[in-house]
Amino acid sequence: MKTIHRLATGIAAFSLLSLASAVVAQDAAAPVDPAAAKAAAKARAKQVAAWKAQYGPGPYPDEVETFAQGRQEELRGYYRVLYYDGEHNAVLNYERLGLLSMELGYYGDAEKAFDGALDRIEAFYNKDKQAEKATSATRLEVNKDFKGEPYERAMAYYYRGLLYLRKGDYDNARASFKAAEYQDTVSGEESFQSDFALLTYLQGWASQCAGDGSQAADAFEQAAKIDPRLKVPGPNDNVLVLTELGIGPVKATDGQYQEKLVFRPGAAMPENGAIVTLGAGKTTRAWPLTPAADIYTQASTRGGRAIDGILDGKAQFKSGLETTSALATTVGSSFAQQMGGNALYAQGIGAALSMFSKSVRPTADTRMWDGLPSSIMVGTTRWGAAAPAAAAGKGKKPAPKASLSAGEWSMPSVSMTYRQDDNALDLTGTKPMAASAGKCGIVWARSRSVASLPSEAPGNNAKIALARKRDKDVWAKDEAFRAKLR
Amino acid sequence: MLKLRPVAKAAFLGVGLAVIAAGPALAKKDRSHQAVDLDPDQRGVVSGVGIEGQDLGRMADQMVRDLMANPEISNRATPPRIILDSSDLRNQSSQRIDKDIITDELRGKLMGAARGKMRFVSREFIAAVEQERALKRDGVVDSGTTGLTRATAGADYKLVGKITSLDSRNNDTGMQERLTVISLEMLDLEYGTLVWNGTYKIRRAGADDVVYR
Repeated sequence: MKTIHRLATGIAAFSLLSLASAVVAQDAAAPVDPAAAKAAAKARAKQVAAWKAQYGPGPYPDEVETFAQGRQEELRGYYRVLYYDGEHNAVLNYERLGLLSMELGYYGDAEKAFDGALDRIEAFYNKDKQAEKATSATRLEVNKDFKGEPYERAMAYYYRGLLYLRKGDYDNARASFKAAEYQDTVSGEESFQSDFALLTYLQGWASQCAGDGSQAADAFEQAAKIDPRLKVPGPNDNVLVLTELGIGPVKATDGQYQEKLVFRPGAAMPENGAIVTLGAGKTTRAWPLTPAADIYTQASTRGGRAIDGILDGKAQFKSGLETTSALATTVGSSFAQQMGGNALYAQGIGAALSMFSKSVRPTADTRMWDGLPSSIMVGTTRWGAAAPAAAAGKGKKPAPKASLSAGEWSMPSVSMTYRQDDNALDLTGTKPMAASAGKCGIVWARSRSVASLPSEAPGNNAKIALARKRDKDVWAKDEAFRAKLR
Repeated sequence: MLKLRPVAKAAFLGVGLAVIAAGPALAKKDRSHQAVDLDPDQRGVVSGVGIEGQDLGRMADQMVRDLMANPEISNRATPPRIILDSSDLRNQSSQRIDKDIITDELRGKLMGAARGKMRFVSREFIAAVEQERALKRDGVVDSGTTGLTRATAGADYKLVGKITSLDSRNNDTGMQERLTVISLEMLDLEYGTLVWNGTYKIRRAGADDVVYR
């Protein structure tokens, strides 16, 4: 929050400076006033010096703003943060930007953002200096570049898969859902491995849309085994409806030194069901959606992380130092006094150990993707089957065509009603994404918008982020990242 | 206490001084991250367990050698017409991939190697062909240098295939492994028989840093 506020202040200052420059530029046609030009240059140098003190090596607000101006207005705040943070929070910033873009209908931005996140998730960070720092006793875990926990990674793949479905690229949609499911296999607890049934179900859906019947059947069967609520869609179903409810899990720390990463359910929201309505007038079709995934369960059942052992070690080391320090100060002092020695030596050792113990930092990293939902509901139907009925005649209803090509049908209007048990809520939710680019169509909506979230992700440590920029290697990496963004 | 002869002492001192002098130079690593040109056939600086840039060239080389060795396709009196695009290449793997990059690489290398022994039919840009044909027939433009034909070229074969993968992971060591199989087939578009099959396998393993497991 602090960084973005500082950036906003900087941008305001930049705007004022730009205004001053514009006035100077306006006067450019007139004979140049050397005094005014000198004053402008001096003001600029002063501003740059102030920014240097505030932002270290940068990037400075003028550069950030120039970059953001080329983006959609509603997304600019997120783009500013992405640009400023560099590789450190790139995955997280891309994920948050992708979801907001998707919700607002900027699908090109959303695709690029999720690709940016997934490319980093898939790459191995070997011999990475920042990752090494995260394991150092005196450095915080937050030093590492963010890659997210498995449930966050899985959700990035899930959203990318939905965007592929929207475009009718069923192969890559299936690949995304498959990769998302693979993230779920990270679970240390064997009983929770590959338990994200919705992802298996969506692989089946992508296969069905791609015309791979046997693969689809296998995936649907597997999904139903994991979660019996997920029924096999009709063989001719061509519209998939997904809606997301509530607010997703929150990361927190626990333990004596906040060395344990724990997950808590997001703030309780009233909605626990949804009814989707397709079309209007005689062709209206409405039905309740089926609960298909609980994101808190996914977050909280992964088991231990490898880094937890390292953080535990740091915590034990810190605890040991504190105990030794206390012993040296109290027991050592009284022993020295009894033996006729100087108690100051023992106290000095105690103080040194105490100072050292303070420099040991086992706190877990709580940067998190805050826009995720609490649960996901799903449903499918066949749309466009009514078209050949008029030609059938003689009161006989013709069998619907097995599959309709893109030109033979179009997506109807869509609305979502959110419910608490059987009661409809006065909750509009987001405008549904409704599209069909091939044999299948997709509807995706959310009960809670991410547009009201701040553009900076929670859990970031601005001090660490700033200190990190002073490392030349990191700076060069971030500059390469920004160059690619521009 | 360890005793050393004067010569040995001098040697140690010399080595020590050399290390001190060379220290900064040894510690000074290449800190630049400016854009560099990389060989597309060599492993890149960013890597995972999936298909990477260097695999494409190797895969295409192997497939082209295989195809050129098949007399039914490469030794016909009349060069066969082949559709080689990604429309029937299915990605069943767990990797998102732009399939065009595979077929484009393959087509480019095959066209170079075939030297007229095969003809490649483009259906991807058929609209452009139809538009030009219509202009010629309407007399808006002349007939060009190759004259008019009754129809556009029909194809004898089409490249079809699948990309599949098998992922595994050892949660104790964090080691991930993926076997990716690119299986391509040449489909006879009249009889429906397969006249050629080529398979390229990539088996890659690696582990991410411990802080990400």
